[in-house]
Amino acid sequence: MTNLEKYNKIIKKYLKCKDEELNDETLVYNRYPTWDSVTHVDMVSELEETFGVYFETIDITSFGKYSLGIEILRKLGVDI
Amino acid sequence: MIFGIDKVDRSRAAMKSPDGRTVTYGGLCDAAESMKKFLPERALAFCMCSNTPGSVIGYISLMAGGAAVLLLDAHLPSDQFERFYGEYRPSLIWCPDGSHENCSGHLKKQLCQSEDYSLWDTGNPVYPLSPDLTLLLATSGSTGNPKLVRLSKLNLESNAESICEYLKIDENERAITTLPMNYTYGLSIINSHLMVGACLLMTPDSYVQSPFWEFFEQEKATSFGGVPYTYELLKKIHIFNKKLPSLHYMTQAGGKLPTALQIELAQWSAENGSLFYVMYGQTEATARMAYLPPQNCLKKPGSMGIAIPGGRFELVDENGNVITQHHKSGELVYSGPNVCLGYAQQKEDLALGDENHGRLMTGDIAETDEDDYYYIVGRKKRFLKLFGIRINLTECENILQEKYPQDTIICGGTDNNLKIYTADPDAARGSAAILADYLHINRKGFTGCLIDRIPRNAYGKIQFSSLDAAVQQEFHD
Repeated sequence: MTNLEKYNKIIKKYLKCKDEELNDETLVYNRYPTWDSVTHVDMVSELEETFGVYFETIDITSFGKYSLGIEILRKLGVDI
Repeated sequence: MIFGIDKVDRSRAAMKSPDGRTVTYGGLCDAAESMKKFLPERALAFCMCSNTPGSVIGYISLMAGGAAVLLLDAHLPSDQFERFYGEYRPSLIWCPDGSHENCSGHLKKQLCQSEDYSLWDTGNPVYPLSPDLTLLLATSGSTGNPKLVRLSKLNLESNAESICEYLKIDENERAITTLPMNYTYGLSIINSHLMVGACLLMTPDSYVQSPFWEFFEQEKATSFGGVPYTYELLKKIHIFNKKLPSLHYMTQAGGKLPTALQIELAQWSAENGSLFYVMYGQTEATARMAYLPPQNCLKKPGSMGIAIPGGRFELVDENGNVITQHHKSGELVYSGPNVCLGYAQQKEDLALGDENHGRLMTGDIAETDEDDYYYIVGRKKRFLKLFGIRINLTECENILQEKYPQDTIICGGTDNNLKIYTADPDAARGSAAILADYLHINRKGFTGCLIDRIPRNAYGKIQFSSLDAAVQQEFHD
């Protein structure tokens, strides 16, 4: 599985969304119904564990759209 | 005017919002004055709350104009809204413009507007309301149960005054919103700050997103409050790895904080140069009944502290006798001017007077230590029997939580079947054996229930009634 596939799998697991919803227009914090604070924090924990990285506060709080999670992982050195 | 808002210097900021807008105390008084002419002598109004200046303007103006106000979440699903509406038939609704899909069918005539909110006439006739009745709060935040707590102006003002005294809130404080306004604890922060002419930083943004912290830093917030889950989340987003220089204090209420987290927060606060207040309260007492003085936070972990100024506690045994010994548990009874008038289950109840006379049976079981500090040891209704033996569910949770600190553990179930709910698979498997050992009761009395996550409402409070539906796997002996 590629890193992007792993990322998408985690997003789908926590936000309970479909493949065609994996975009910035649909997946926005607090606008997409299942993306609340509780889910957000759990989802970040699994991303940290899966990719072996540590999200600083600023990384966690700026992750507000689908693509921003990918951007943060890249910044943390993940090849995605 | 309520909370003495008209006595504050008119130019002082009462509220700021992330879009850079400020509402002064003078502006708040003017808004109240201009709304007054649209209000009948005495009417019930619904205020659809959000953490925005418009929401607070309506709340204050309606009360100042003589209305009795029920606070509800502006995002309340329409089926739940309908249950409140159908039962209490308000004459007026104060709600945000453009996003009132849940009450739109009832908005007959727009009366006036302020910020992004409007006052609407519903066409419902006024009906008798007790002269003391000022505010109504729902007893359960999000289930739509129309049972309400009835509060007077004296309740609101006396509790705000006590809170200002023990938290030492003065006009230089700037609290940032982290809790819903229609939740008694969130509201108590708003009330106490308005009482002393301080400034509220009103933001609808969540603390797990950057805009909240940008506003926090820009406006140099001095305090915020949180339920236990707020602090668990703040810890998970690593907020306590850094300093918050503008912060004077944090408060916690809305359930017992795990003792380990209390110690951690007290230690972080000491390093940060700020204070940490553990507190205790209920909607039935307007909000606050007790606080743990921060200098004793590390000395007395697990304690809910002492009664607030103007309040008093006693412990009562099953026969109604007052307990005077330390370390002997009984029901916690609170007396003070902030005890609510009573409940309402239907609109006729809004005409009722004071049924409590300043005395509240809290339903919590507590005991004292040698210094007369109080400790909650259980909840009156949170007991069940296993093979004839009375079991304290709160005590069971504490024992298991010590062994499995990773995730929240909830004990429930029925007589002869104590269920242990947790999202931690190890705890779901191992808890029955631990409790059986500790209580010397056969393992058949226990079931470990693995759930996806603990169901919580918008305040982060646990939804006990939804636990069974969340169970994925059960572990029997």
